[in-house]
Amino acid sequence: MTPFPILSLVIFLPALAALMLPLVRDDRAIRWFTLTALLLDFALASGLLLAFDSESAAMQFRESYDWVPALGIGYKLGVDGISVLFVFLTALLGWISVLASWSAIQTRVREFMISLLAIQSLMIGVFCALDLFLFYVLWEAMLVPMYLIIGIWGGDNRIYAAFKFFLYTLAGSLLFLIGILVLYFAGGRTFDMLALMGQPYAFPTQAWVFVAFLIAFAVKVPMVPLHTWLPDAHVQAPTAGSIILAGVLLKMGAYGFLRFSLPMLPDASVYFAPLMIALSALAIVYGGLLALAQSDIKKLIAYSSVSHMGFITLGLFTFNMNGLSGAVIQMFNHGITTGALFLFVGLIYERTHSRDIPAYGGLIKVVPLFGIAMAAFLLSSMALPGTNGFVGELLVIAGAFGSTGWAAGAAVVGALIGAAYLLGLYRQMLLGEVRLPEGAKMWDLNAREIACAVPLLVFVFWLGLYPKPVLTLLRATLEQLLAQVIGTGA
Amino acid sequence: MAVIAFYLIAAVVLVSALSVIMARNPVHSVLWLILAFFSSAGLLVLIGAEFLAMLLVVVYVGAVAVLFLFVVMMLDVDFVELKRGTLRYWPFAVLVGIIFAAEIVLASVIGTADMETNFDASPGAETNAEAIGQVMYTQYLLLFQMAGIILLVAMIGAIVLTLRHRPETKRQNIAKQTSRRRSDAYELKDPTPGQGI
Amino acid sequence: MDTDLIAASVRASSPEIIVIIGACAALMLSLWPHQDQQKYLTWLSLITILLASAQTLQLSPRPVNIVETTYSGMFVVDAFATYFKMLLYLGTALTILMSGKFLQTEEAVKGEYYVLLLFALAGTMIMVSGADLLIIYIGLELQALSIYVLTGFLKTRGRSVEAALKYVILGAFSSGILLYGLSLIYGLTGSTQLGVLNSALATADLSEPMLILATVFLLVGLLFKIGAVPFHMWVPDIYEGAPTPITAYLSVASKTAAFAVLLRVFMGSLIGLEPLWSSGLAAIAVATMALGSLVALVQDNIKRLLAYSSISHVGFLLLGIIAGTTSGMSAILLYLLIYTFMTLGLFAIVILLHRDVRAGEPLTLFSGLAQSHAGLAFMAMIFLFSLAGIPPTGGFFAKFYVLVALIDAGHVTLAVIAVLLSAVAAWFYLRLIMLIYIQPAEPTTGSTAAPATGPTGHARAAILLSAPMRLVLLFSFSGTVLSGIFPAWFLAMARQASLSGLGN
Repeated sequence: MTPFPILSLVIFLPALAALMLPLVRDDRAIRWFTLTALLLDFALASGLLLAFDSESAAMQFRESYDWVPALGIGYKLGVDGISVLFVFLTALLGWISVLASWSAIQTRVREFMISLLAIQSLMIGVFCALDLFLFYVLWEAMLVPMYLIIGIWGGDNRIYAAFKFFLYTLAGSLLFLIGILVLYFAGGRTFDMLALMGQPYAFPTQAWVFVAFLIAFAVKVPMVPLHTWLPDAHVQAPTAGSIILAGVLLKMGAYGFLRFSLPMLPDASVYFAPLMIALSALAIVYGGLLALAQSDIKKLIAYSSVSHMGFITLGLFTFNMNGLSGAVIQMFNHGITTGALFLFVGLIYERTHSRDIPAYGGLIKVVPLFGIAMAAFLLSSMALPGTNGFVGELLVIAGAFGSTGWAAGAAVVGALIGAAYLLGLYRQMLLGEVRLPEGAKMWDLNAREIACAVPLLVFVFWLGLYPKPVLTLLRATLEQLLAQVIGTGA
Repeated sequence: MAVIAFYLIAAVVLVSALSVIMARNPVHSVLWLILAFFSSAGLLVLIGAEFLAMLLVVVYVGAVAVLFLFVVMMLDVDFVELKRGTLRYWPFAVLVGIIFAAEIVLASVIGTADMETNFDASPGAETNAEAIGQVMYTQYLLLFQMAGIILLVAMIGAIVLTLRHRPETKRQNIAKQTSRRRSDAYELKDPTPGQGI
Repeated sequence: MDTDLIAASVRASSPEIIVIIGACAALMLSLWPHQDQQKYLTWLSLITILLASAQTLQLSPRPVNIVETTYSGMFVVDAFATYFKMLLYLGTALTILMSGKFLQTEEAVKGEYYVLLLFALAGTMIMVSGADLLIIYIGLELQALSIYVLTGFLKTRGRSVEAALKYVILGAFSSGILLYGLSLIYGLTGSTQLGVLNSALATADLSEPMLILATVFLLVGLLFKIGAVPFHMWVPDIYEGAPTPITAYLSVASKTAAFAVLLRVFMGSLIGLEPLWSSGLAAIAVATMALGSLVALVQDNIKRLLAYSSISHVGFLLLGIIAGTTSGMSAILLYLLIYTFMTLGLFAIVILLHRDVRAGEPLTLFSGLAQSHAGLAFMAMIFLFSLAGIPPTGGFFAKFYVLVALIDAGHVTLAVIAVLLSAVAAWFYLRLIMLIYIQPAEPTTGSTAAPATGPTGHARAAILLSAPMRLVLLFSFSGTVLSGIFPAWFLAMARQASLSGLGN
């Protein structure tokens, strides 16, 4: 246990900032205050990443305090290779979303920033939690600020979208709770995740708990057929909401699989793997086809998220090193890329107030910087070699070939479809003759927007050309995870 | 001796009970009812339940019958109109009467064959009241006190719910009167000569 | 009883005596014509409650498992009774604090209000301390009678009088059923004392029809009191018509006391009869939760909505009884505490928003609250999320603990049904939050009670945060939040109390 509670600090810094916000007077000060708090948090998270020891597969920076000893609940935190990466991602997307909302949010700025800070705290907390009860509390508490963000600052149909998001996720989470409680009793009345990981549970118990967890994570990821809340939520949410939703929230579903289903329920995971692979393949192809048919940019990217998350879940259940590391890297990449895409959609929406794809054309001539950056992200989403997306997808497909051939085939088909709609989008919006929606006021990327885009671009190309640091970071953790699944699997 | 007393009082009870339903004036009915209660109390004394007899007088005559009188005298009910047409239900009345009679016969025939007949109250008690008191003030003390509180609440409740002040009538608001301060009553003004207030 | 026993009994019941003396003093004070009479009465009531709670704490047994039976086995002082009494003090005190401004708005300021509330408190205290079915019944009647009158306190409003009438009929009917079950039990076992019943029924033949009848009647009578399905028929009407602070009291304190009785009788003494009622009660619990959650979805009056919401909470609580044993009972105790906090908090906000009974309490009262009163809106949001069971509020931990107890006892299917119905219930809480935060404020329609606020018509200016209201909000809010973030302390108290509750 480290003497300095760095993880608690990283988690609660945004929350503290949120508590202090009511004292800040005007909107401008509120924005700067929030930005500073989140930049500070990002600095801490980066420090955490740099100080992380890649050689060890154990949990690092651990903290452990008693919370409700009568029930075996403790306040336990810790990070391993996977979580530290996502803490970093969350912290990165945090300040980027503040910058993205700088001029987009003009009403009730204080409440917005408080919600943003709250959700930051909760998300980082979810990734660091090592106690099931704590995990669940933070997981479900995330619904509150997200509901408010979509419902108050969203688009025209935001109330419906917010309700749908909340109730879908709540129903899934509540089943998750039952699964947790069953596991609690089967594992000897403790909520400590590490203690629950090593135990041999009876197969029927594992199977039922796996199903309960599956429903919860499948809603979050989202997996087909529980994905219908995503397009509505994404389209109606404000830019920052979409960035966080796509960038981090979706990853939590996959993180759930990584953290719970695989290590704690290995036999059930192996048993249900064919089902999971089938659903993933379905998501890849179906999501891609749906995206192909869209004429609303945000909806298109939302469905592409479904397709990309399909890649991730596919990689997770291949049970080999390639597949697993591909999945985790792809989780990080998807966060960066799709976060960036939503950011850019938000930027264009601020200028034109239209999300209709056919209304655009030749943007690269009007706003060249914007066009180039957007092109980079579209190509990354398409998994062009040289971008980060390629690394992830390649590893996943390699891993899939290693386990189920036909799923890999579906993945390749999905990648092709992805190329189709993304290149289509690229051609339609950025190339060709100039076409703009009514009443559009175009300006090229200003300094603030460049500040948002640059870090994301850096990651796109850095990881695309030199992914070794991330792979090294993940290796020890994933090897241990693999051993937990395969070693005890049927 | 006691037998004669019994038959006398029983006769009074029967006669007054019949008069209750046969009297034309409703106030007379209630007065006959009061007589029936008193006589029943007498019967109870005869069998040795003097506490119950007193309770009968106090509660039934003192409260219930008085309530009846209030209702009868204050509400303008046309009893003649009310009782018109009751003769149509004579089959039903006969049926109920037969049932009652059958029950009485059944009870007296079966008698007290299987029942506990040793109704000896707590030993050492001389009167009913003392017997009841010996239990009520010791074992059931809390119940007794709480029942009293319930009666108090019932009284308060009845007044709270029904006492009303008609808005047209003028009343004194004592609180307002006694809380009147000098500043509410008058103020000093200094008019300039020739200007007025 | 000799003088030593009498002295011990009086000492054991000194909190109740304090409350009754306080009520009588309030009765006399209410005759004194003074302008600030209401303020003095409030102070008097609060001081009475404070003294009573101090005395209760002083009398609470140490060590915790000692049980003191007084009044020849009628009255008991144990950790269970102490816990419930503290809960009742909290509920009653907060209700008294909430009533001040409300009565003034309704022009129904009468001293007897406080008198009757204190008597109701005394009734509930007797109920939770009762160790004999008779004294429990008497306590029940005392509380019920006071509340009948309080429900009809707004004599000039038709809804209030109608609610009182319905409540009287319902209450009389259910008391009759309860009493009948009680007398059957007496007939079967020869005693009404809970301690004796436990051993007398231990060797009972469970298929004996009279026994089944007695259990059913007893259970039904009590279920009427807490408003479980299918005995909930008039509960929404009563909640809607009663003056709002009394609705709050009904929703919280009356239920708490009724649950105390239910727990003591059915999980304590009559535990031997469990096979008779457990499956029936499970069905009732599910039906109650389902009805409460589903019908609330279509309500547009706040008080009716809250009535149905409390019905659904009752269903959840009944699950705790099914879970049985110490964890089930302590789950119910903890839930009742947290439920007190969040319900009273929400009702306080409803009272603050209340303008005029003629306008009713439509849901749109909440519209746009976030834009005019951000702090109040935030508190309302926390209370609503707590009622829905979303972490990190206390309501979540309460539900969580009930689920733990339920799954521990092996009823996993029931737990799944319970959480799914909770998700359904979340919908209408969410709708209220949507009204608070997303919907703009409703323009006034020229009701006479609202102050003239110009063309925008914001009647929001009518919210008067008096000191008592602030106190109520402070207590309930901190209680709701603290029980969610630091539940260990509350949990320990509940567990201690439940240990002695099962002892009888």
